[in-house]
Amino acid sequence: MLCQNCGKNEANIRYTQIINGIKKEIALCSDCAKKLGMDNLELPFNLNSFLGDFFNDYAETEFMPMLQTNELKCKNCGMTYDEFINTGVFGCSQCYDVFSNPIDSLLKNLHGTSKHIGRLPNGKAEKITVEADSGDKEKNKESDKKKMLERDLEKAIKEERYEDAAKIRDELKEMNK
Amino acid sequence: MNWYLQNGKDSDVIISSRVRLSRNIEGIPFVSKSKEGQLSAINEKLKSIVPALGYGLKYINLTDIDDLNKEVLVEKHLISPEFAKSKNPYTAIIINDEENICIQVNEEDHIKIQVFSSGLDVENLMNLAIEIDQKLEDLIPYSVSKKYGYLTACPTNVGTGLKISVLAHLPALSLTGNIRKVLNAVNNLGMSIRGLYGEGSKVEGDIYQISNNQTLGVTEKEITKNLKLISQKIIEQERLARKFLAKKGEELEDKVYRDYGVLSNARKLSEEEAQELLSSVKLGTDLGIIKELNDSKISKLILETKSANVQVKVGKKLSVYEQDIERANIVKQIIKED
Ligand SMILES: [Zn+2]
Ligand SMILES: [Zn+2]
Repeated sequence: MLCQNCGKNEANIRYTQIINGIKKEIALCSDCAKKLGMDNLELPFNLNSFLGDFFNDYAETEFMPMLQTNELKCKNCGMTYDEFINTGVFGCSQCYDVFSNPIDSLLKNLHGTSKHIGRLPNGKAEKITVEADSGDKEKNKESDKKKMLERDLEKAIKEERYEDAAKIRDELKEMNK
Repeated sequence: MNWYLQNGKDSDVIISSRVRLSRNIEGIPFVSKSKEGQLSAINEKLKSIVPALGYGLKYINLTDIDDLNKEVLVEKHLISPEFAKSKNPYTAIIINDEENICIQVNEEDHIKIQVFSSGLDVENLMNLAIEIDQKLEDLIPYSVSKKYGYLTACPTNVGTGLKISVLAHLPALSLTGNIRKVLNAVNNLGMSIRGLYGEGSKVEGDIYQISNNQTLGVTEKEITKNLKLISQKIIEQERLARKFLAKKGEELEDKVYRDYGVLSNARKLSEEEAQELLSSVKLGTDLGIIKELNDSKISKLILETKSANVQVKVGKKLSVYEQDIERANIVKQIIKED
């Protein structure tokens, strides 16, 4: 059997992992095993490079023959499929949607599923805007900060965190000078 | 008192626990694709909300910490080595005096909430991390999707964004040659276990890190429960191996006392040698053979004999040779302390 990573050398190391009851086996040559840090079980394998190769393999298998992932690009941050493979990290939250098709298979491999069932935030927080009008920017920032501090102060008093409350009060005093 | 000097539960085997939550801010690309203005806005925003979080947290820009002190933070496992080397000028940590909370700002993700304790204490840590997360989510709009949960730069963290890890001291499993079996078993349970490496290729001080792989399609509660169960299994196995070793009483007593002898009398100690001797001396202390030391002294010795810690204690950069001499002095001092 040929190495599943490079496809060139004879595979002589097998690595087994069980995720959610599904057994996965991957056969590697000793060069690739070393490269991926899998020659020694005590070593963690480099997940990023491993991910990239795995992802590549997936796009090439017959399970997804129509997938032209190579041409996918995230309009929001400019991340391409190739770049993701090389770095193992996404550029922004929209990448998850742009690459959703191959991502689902990748996530199933990594986590055994592609659906979140844990906590979610309450969604109360206000959006953070980065680009403000340059003229009012400083002023806006100042009054935003004041509003926020006033809110924090109220909260700190309510929660009886008097030490924090005193700190916030000092900061407000400083701003009103 | 700093958390790593405190006595924790099951600390004969589990040195420390850590819970980490990865979060990103809605509408801003992840750190690697963020523009300078965006990174600086994140930095400002987080700085402004620190007083509202409580816990005595302080905001420190990484640019205000010199290289040696950054290395100390790495040696305490408070920040990642990559983060310490980051060229991004808008990186920061939000940390308290006890150092049991350390939030990394603009690491791989915008926000990495981290909480620590000595010993095995994952449930309390989980509750603390969620408490901090809930304060933050009132003030910061997180990047989430219904389907994928909390969105993270690396797909290995997506979903809950939760990684729990414990550091386990497994000298008896190593000495009895059973460590490989444990490593295989844990890896097959969907958790990862790996040795902490120093300069060489040997596992430093028989310390292993156990953490969850799965972050998506699993609840925070399940991850916590699984990690606790696996840790307890490992504790059980290590204690069995220790009992087995203790049967050959003289052999073990001879080994740990010899190592204690070298540790306390050497004039020169390399970092690697110190960690190795300390592993054996900790085993001897945990088994009640060595009576001259205690848990918190050993924690102190393990930390303060690391390279950057030695240099910060002396107050200047030292050559490796000078470090080895100072390290031996520091060991003697700590052993003498009451
Ligand atoms: Zn190969
Ligand atoms: Zn993107």
